[in-house]
Amino acid sequence: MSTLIAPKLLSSRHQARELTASLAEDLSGTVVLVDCSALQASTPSFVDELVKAVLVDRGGERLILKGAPERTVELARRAAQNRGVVDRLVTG
Amino acid sequence: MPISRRAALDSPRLDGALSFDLDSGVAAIDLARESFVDAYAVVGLACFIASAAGDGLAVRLVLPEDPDVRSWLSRMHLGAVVEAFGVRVEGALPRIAERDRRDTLIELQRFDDAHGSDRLASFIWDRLEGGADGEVVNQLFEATGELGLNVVEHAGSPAGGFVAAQRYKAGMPEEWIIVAVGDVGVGIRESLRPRYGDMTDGEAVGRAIQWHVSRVPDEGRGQGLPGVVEGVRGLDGVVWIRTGAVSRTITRRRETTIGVSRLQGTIVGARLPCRPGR
Repeated sequence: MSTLIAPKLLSSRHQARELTASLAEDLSGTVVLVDCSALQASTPSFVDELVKAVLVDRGGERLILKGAPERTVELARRAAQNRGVVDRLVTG
Repeated sequence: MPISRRAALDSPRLDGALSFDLDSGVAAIDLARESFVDAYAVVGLACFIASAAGDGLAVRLVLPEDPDVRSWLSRMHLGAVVEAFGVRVEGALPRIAERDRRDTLIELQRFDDAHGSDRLASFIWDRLEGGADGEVVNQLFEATGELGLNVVEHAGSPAGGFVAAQRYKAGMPEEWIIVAVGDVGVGIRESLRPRYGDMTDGEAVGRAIQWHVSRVPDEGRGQGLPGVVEGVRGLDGVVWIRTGAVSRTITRRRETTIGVSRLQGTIVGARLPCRPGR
């Protein structure tokens, strides 16, 4: 499992790419956990780029958002649905 | 580039304040009789100045006669834009002591990359947190982040973007916030044209507020502007989108589009009640 720590505020796609830059290019068979306990707000674009970077571009097995605000969870579900990867997104 | 336009901002109080004199090559802003300039309009002024300067015109600014309005423009840091673009000011913006109004003002600021856009969205959050309902602060953070990102990723604005915000009637039941983001880029129509073909400015705005319409062919794109519209509407606010020669006003119940003088780029503003539903 790879773990990433989300800061308090995240807004741009650029920040999603920065946050995931340390991950391997191929995440097949890897679970990525994003610790969102400090996160207070995020934009739809940031969340979409995070889902894309982990589950689409790198083929991660699962993306877990731990302790994310309700709004971020809603945005993540929407993004994962749009990209056809909702079955690999875990929130809670 | 030949210019044969007369621009006017949305605010009726500013209509007619902006003009071009092609013979003398001067773009003029006459605020002499203005008694109120809001945060949306101050972003519009910055865009007008940057656009005119980019077109190689000299810019002349006549300040408001009302000393309170002059002080407000000064407090909103219009002077930084005036200085950056070499605007000739008739009179002078007053030097004022800046008492702490961190919860009611976000002065006019310029940004030109994703880091700048991120910083401003965070700045909005930090300034407004606790000053309005949480969902309002969250919506303004999302709006500023998404609109800033649009400027950086899609607008192609040589002068970058401008943002400003203000909370009005602070402490009163009816208090509200206006935030605005503007640029002097290609405008929405030109941004969408390569992918969606020719259309009018009005059609371009109509497309841009639909989900998943984007210059970039990627299924997750096209969430910024429609998300702002949905969020602000849901909180009983108002969104203004001005691009090219149209301005659209969107509320929970209606959308109206009017023809306006052509302005380079795009300005998007939102007005939100600080305590919706109370």
